[in-house]
Amino acid sequence: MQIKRIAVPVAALAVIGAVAASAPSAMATTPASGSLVLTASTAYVKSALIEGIGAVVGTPASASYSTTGGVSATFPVTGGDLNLNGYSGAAQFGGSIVVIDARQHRTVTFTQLAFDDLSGTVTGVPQGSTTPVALLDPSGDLNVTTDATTGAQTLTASETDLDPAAATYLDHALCTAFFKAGTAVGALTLTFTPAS
Amino acid sequence: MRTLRPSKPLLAAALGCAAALLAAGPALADPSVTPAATDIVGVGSDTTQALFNQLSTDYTGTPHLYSWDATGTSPITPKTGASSIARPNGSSAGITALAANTSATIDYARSSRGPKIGSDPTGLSFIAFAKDAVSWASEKSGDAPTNLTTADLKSIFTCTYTKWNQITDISGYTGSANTIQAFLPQLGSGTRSFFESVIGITDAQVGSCVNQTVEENEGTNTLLQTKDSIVPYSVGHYIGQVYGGHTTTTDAPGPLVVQETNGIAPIDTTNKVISSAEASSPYARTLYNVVRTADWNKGDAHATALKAIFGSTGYVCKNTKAVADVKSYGFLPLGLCGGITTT
Repeated sequence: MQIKRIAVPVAALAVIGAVAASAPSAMATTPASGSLVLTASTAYVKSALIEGIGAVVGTPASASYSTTGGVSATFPVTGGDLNLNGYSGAAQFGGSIVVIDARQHRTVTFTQLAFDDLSGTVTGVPQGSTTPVALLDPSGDLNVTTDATTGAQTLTASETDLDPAAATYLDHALCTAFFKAGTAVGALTLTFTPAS
Repeated sequence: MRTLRPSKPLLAAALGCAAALLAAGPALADPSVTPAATDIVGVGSDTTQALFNQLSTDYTGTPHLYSWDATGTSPITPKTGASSIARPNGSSAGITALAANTSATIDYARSSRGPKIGSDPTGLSFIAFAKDAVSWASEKSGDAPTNLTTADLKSIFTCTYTKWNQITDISGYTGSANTIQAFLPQLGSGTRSFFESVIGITDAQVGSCVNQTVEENEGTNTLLQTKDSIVPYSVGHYIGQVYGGHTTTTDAPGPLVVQETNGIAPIDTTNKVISSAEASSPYARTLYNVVRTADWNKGDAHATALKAIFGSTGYVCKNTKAVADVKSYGFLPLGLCGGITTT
């Protein structure tokens, strides 16, 4: 039943995702690289689908689903000066997130995805706006590691929570009452190798 | 410090009021009672000791939270049944003591510096909780300019510059021929370690003209009360002293003011916080509490107690009063509060 509700919007969103995609900026040196992997747990996905709510990602991001791990979406790093060990800087990611309410036939598309290390949130800019909205807050066990050989820094969060700003924005934009601040959505892994 | 706790059964009905009074109480130095063996007890950094005295007073969970100051009588017996240890003065000393003992003596170390992979003991978890910055301080109307570059600071603390008139890269400043009196906190200070790192020197490169005996963030020291003194200073701690009113007879700025580095004003005087420019500069630093990784991951009641205080959803990161305390003591709450880096 849930699949039927989102089948049509998903088909349309492939186009939206393609339009929203942005190419990494050209750099003279080796650009920053890495990825942001956001996971939505099976439980959260199920609760959303029951309400007719789903999400897809736009290129160059990609997504996959497993019955045990839920939905996993990968967004490539496109730039930034993130210093995870110093808890400073920010990283930007390609791709988009499209949140769909199949019942209301409404969608919200977030592009310009970013992670700011001081605020510690994943943000996105809603289509038609220039102001970022805080989407997800890393929580649970937060671990920061650095690969001494490659310089790659990794942040893992055993939990991500829906930011209050995202809950308010999505409920307003989609005319729903589904999104609750602080809801555990899934997990996060951010890997970032600085430009050199 | 935690105020003396009455017997819980006797005052069970009045605990709510009692807790409220405790929360409103002033933070004092060192525990006034010997903490129980199961309490969470810390030592180390001077920079965050005042904040943790306050947090210890405000935390109403059990086991209780205690914090020993960096200075005072020594040795100390941190908790019931603990070994007697020399009082750790500073981040590195606290970290060393944490690694050298078990939870029977110390549970955490306050640290104003990050982990030093390769030189810090292994098996430790640095748990981030706030942002601070380090600048330098001098007397308001002294001989120092109001701004110095990183190159100037390096020259001063290596004694390449010994007189103010050797500083020639500050627009509009003509220094006097007076001798610069440079000071650093003691070895083992996290503030010293960070400051040396950011100006690009090591302990071994500190010049012989530098006095290395002062306690950090204490402008009350008469040695510093000259027009030619210069000393690194925690910007957050200074804000806590000046704007938060968190001072004691020794823990106060005295005549010192925190000055600019590389033209960046360290304080947003309107909002009374570390300026955003300073917070994103190389002089910004992260503040940590350090625990043994094995303790953190053990899955027992002690691990639960540590996570209830220091974890990403714990007291220091999420409790409204605790976050207000962090701000009141001049530091910036960290978005990724509870982030862990292991050694």
